Amino acid sequence: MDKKLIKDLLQVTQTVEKFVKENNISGIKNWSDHIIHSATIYQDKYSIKTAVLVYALSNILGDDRFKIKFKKEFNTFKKRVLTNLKKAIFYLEHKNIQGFETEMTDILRAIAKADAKFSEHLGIILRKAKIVKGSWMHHHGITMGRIAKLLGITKWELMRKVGSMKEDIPENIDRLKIAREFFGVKNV
Amino acid sequence: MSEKIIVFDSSTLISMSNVCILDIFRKLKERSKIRFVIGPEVKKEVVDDALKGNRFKFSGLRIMRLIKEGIIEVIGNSQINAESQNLLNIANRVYSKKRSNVKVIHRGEMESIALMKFLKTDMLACDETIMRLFLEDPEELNSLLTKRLKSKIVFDKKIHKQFMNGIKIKVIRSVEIAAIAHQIGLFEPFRDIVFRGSAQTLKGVLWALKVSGCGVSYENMEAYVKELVGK
Repeated sequence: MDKKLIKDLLQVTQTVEKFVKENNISGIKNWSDHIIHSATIYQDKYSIKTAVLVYALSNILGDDRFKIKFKKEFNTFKKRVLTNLKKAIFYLEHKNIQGFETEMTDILRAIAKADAKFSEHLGIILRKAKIVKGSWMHHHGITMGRIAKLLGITKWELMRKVGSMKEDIPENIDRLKIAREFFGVKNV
Repeated sequence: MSEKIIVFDSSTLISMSNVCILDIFRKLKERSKIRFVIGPEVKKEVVDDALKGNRFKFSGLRIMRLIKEGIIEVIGNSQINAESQNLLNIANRVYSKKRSNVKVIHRGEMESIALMKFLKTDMLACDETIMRLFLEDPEELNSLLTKRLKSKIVFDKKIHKQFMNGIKIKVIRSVEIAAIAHQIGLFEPFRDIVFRGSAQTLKGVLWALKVSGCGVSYENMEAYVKELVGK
């Protein structure tokens, strides 16, 4: 296990724990971008899971309407997340990556075990987080097929998201000429 | 007219299905002896994955229909499988950071290349920018990886050369296929329904493909509209 990776994960988890306590939503969101570089390079399940979870947390904790509608479930969920994050930090400080993963997976379990409607809402947010983070990984140079496999999403979902991003790679090949030659169509 | 074969990556089929222009395949096939081919992994991505949920189910069914009608062929065998794995093993060693490989490619994408080699064709339809860069300009992909990952990524030219193994691949996208469809009059029914219907239709189709995931720039689309309909 790369030392820099553990260091990155620890930094992110510590910062996110602080931001969750402070309810600093934009701070949490920014830090999900921070870990995406590691996720893209190493493509390890720890970075990927962390990037997705942290982004999802920023959406869950930032949803004021839902906080009001599901006040009791929300507070229980937040308390559980903070407990998990604290344990995750402990494991990383002791270079126990398995322990860290267990705690992050437990947050996902908290989503599954929550009240049905709350859980459904969280499930949607989690899926959206995967698609958003996946599109960022694609922006950083990984093919959609690879990302879809890593994140457990479909290329269909990813392409919709990627399509909304600006394409700034210059086009140096006359593809229309190639297509015309292949399909036997003359120039206009 | 001799038979021509073009292999499709899933990205192009997904874009075209989302924009409801799959009928182009039918029309192009009627017009000339062209075979549209995909591998089993691509079929899984564009049909099986779509059918698992509800959101893209109908889009997947549209593609399935073309397969059932024989307009799109699914070809796979053990030789293609073995070559896909071989290509994947090579491709994912092209880029690295501090001796760790940065894996950019998926097996399904390599299956399309293996299929091309098996069918002895050099034509690939692929809407995905990263895959195209890997095939056509791997050094540019390296610059992109280095810049966006804010890390020094090493590109191994020798391994990439081993991957390409002397083959030249010609890549087109769904936007070029749509442009061809426009040129041969497949969007003719839209010509008179609004003022400058021809230009509006082409622009609309290209934009719809772009937001469905086709890697195309605004400048490229504008250039196609200008070339094909004046402005």
